[in-house]
Amino acid sequence: MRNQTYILGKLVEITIIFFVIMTALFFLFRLSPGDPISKVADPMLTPEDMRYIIEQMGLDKPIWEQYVIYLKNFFTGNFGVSFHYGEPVFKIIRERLGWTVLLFTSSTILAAFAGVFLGKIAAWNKGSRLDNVLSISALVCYTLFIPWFALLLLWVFGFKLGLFPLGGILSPELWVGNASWFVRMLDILHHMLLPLMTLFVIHLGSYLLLMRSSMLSVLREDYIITARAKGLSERVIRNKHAAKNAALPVVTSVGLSLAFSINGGALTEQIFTWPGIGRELIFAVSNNDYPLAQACFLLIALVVCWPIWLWIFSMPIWIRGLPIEPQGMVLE
Amino acid sequence: MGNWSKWRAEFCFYFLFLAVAFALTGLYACQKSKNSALLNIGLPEEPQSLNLWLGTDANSRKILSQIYQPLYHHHPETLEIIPWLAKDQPVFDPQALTYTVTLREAKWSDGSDFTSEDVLFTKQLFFDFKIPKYYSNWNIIQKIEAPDAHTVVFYLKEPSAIFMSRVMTAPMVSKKEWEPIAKQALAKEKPLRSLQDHPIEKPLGTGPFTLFEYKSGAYIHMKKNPYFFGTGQKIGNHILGPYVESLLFRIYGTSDVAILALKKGDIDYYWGDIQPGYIKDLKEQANIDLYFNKKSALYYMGFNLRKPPFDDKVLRQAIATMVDKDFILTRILQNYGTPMHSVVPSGNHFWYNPNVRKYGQGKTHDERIKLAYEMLKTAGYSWETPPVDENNNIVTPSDIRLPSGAAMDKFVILTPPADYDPKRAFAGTMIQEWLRELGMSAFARPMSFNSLLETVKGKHEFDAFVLGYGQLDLDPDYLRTFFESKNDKPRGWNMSGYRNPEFDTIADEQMTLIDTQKRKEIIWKMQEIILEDLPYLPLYNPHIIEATFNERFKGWVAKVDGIGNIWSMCVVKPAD
Amino acid sequence: MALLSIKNLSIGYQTKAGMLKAVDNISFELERGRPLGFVGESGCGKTTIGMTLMGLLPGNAHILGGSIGFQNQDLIQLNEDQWRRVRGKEIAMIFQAAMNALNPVMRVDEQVIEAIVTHTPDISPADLDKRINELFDLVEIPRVRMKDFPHEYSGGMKQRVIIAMALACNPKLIIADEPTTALDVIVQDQILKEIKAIQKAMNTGLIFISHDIAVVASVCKDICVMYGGQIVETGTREEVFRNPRHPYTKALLGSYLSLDNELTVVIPDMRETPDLTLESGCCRFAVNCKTCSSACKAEVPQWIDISGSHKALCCDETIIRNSHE
Repeated sequence: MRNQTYILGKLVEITIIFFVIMTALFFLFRLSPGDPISKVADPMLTPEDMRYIIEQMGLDKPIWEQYVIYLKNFFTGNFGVSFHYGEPVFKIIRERLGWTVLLFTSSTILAAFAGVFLGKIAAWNKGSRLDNVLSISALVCYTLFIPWFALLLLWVFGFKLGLFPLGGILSPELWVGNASWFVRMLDILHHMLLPLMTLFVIHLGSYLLLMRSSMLSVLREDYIITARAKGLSERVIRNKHAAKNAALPVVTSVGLSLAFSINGGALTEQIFTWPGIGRELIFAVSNNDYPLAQACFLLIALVVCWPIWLWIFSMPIWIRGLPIEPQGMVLE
Repeated sequence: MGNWSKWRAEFCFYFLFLAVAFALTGLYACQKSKNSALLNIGLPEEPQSLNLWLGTDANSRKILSQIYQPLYHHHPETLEIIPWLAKDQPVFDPQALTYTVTLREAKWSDGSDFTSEDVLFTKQLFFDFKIPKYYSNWNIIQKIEAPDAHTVVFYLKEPSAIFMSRVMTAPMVSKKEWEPIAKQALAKEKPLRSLQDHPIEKPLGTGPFTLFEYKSGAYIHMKKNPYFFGTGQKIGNHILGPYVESLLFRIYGTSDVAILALKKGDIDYYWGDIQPGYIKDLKEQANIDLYFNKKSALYYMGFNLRKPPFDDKVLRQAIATMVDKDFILTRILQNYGTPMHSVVPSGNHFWYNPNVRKYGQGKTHDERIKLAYEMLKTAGYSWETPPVDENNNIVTPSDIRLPSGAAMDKFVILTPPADYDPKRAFAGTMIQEWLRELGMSAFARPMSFNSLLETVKGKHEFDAFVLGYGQLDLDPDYLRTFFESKNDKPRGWNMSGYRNPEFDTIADEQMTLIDTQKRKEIIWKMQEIILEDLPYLPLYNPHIIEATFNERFKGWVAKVDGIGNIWSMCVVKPAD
Repeated sequence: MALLSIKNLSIGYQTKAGMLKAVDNISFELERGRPLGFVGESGCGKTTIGMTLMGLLPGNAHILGGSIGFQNQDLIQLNEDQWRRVRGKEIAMIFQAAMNALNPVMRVDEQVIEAIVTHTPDISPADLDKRINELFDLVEIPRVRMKDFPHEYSGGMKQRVIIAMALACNPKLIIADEPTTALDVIVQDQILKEIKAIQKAMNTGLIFISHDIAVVASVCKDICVMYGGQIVETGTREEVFRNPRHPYTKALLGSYLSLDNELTVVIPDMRETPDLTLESGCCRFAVNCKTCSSACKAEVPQWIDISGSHKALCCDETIIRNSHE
């Protein structure tokens, strides 16, 4: 009974949060200067034409009326039609999201694994030359200017060495022919490597540093002495006792960065011409494409709240009293 | 213990990852074929839409202009209007005010005939949906008739000079393709938006290419249209092909990468503007050809004539005297452009008036200061310390006062931000410095493009600004749009608030003149008036700089606005 | 023969202020069946002794001299590999369960199993199972709770698990470092009883370290009172308790715990902290000693035998001998 009240309370909380976010999004975009056609610099377009276009977009109505329509549409699952592309927002996001997820999820996870691994070694050998090399390179990675690094990779591997394509998601030459699906898959992977490398290196730095400091603080914990007192070997202490505990903040940060990857990778996406949602978001905002921009930001809000969703989805398990592991994220 | 094996597993994982990467590399090297039938073109951005009525941005036009064709086109060299889907020049009947156009035996890309029915339908579409731009252009037509399948008669409400350039260059659409869509859309609450939002996957056109496949986010594959009417014909001094089997458009998010792709030969042409900074490097590449062409563009400084201090013509003229266009050109444009003296680009040979007043032309910087000082002093401006002292030496001035005796307030020159267009932003700063030498407190302020337009065009709350029109029509009728009194309204194009009844009269007059020679005289006169009154001070006209990879294809057609045009696509041939 | 015999052991910490002698020239012997208690305020060096016996001194600690005889070997001479074989197997430690003595992401039984498997890698699963059940029975934790995570345990249960962990390999010597400090009085009592019972049943050597002299007295037969790295008085619990001779012991018996920090013993009129950088052998207690004479600061204190095993360290024999309490 108590559980049910609790869940209900949480759901109400989430509903309120999203309502506030949606409202803020709606008004923020309408407060920003210009409208979807203000950028059109075609002198052949008369003011009457422009008014007509605005009217056809439904933007001539009073802002409160627009707001009500917006809410109504949203709750009926209608995200509207992009002003710019004339396509349903849902369709655009679905197309773009896949590419972003493919690139960011894989790079984040790879970077997290490598960061945990290297951070562990660095913390374990604190003060050694290895630690210095790792920490300094991590700092360099962390502070790298993304566009510069991405262009450098493209220039060296794509242009000078000719090993990788210069951006894009696939080789059109290959796809317009009749290549097998396997070759096509490899082709996408091949295109993915350089952007993946860029994001990997950039994320790696922060994960490494995070893991290192987390590991250092874990190594001061009592249970490490307990483990030593048991006569365990140093490797077991490092990997089983210290690293597992130290990796928890990294896991949390991976979760968060997955959420922010939606917009955070816009620069990388732009340089590698990766048709992801980050690029789309930037376009949508600069074009005042309200429906698309709103939907993109809402998506970010949804993803940022991922722990809430996790929590909700795990509710049935809690209720039925099935055993679930607390802090059960085991990472090594 | 199992720890080493875990380490090893991790190492193996990364190693495997690298190994796969390099295996893929090999694959890539193999699959890269030099296909001479495939013309690869880089685009700076994804096209907005394949729906002609929505896709009005530059990148959509690059694709759609290969598909949808107008009745008449501009000749690539002379810029005259020449028949395209039409067979001949139209026959004009001054009494009945009719133009009779005979159509070519052209076919749509699905093999069906292009007839006068389609022209009639296109007109009906413009009118039914009030399609922006086309509707207001075609509004001069009273009615349109089709005596037979290949003849169309246009009835005009009044004589119009812009009939050819505005009406006849509109793209023709197929009745078969659009009739059902239009019927559906007309029934909707917002007909135009419904029409624009209708997804078009395979546009049906009469042009040299047809859309074969559009893979969103990756590429656009166009194939040669076997029914293209121009194949083998000599139009505009070129025997048209197309000589390539297909076009492959791909998108490059930044021009840096696009240029690398060009140098590597991944693309044969980058259909986008190249910044002057790349030129030195590209000139050294043997397999890169560079093209410098004039742009039909107008970059200018605009003044707000509605309020002091810029309501005074003399002040504007003095500012014009101070602005050294050659300096801007050499320093900011690195000489890749032309200084602009009139509001019609000099590349538009026919309409450009070379005899307009050229302020401070050929003068040194000090001479300009003295000249401007004299002009202002004569008009009653005064200073605490004038910019020129009794001994005719240039000094730092202070406290300029208007002829009324009131102090001149500080004013702001709005420019687009440097990341949007560094040239205009820097030009703004330079002008600010020059004006300060006359004792004015000028401030150049970059502002985001949206806000800038909102401020200047929507609210009229500004002092001065630097802007540009990128793709100016070849017909100078835009002078009317920019400077006629009736366009001085919110969102109107007369952003300066210029009101001159004399100008209005001749501007309306030129519109109705069919005789181009007579019209030219008036257009020249209009330019003279504008350059005397200076609502806009034309600054420069940048070159459009483009590059091609020359190992596979040759024969690009250069014209105003560059080599990216339908002529190039129709005549480019494999290099061997 | 004594299970453990420490002779003239000195341990210092290298700090910016110089070498701090946390343990200064101490000697004692430990017999099986005679639990030995170390008592003193925090910082007196008792934990350092415990850590030295586990070979777990931090990096900046140095053994300056002396020997630790344990089972015919000098523990000071052991290398890390040899130490690992001793730790947990021969000498085990019971830590304070307060915060994080148990790994939060490992199930409780795994942490005990780990201790067994490390020292007997070829134990059969059946034997291991049996041993685990035995251990949990011994410390009275229900078997259904074996698979829990530490945070699901109460403080007392955690302490029991730690005891079980220490007992896992039947060590010959157990060092209990403040094992009951974080517990409430009732649980403390239970745990103390358990430790006593287990010690008796297994007949292991036990070193019991605490700041609480009452707790030490309830478990140990012999007591060493430490101050500033030195043992200042040693004897059986009756001797030390009933007949304290050293001024510090006397003060300690009249001490109370401060409210803000349980581990700090507040002794009235003792404001100075002992100077650990002093040369070896000096009387550290002199700064706080009410009976201190000028001779104390110059001379080296001597062990003064009082009766049998009862000894005290002081410069002034008369003070020790003429106890009026």
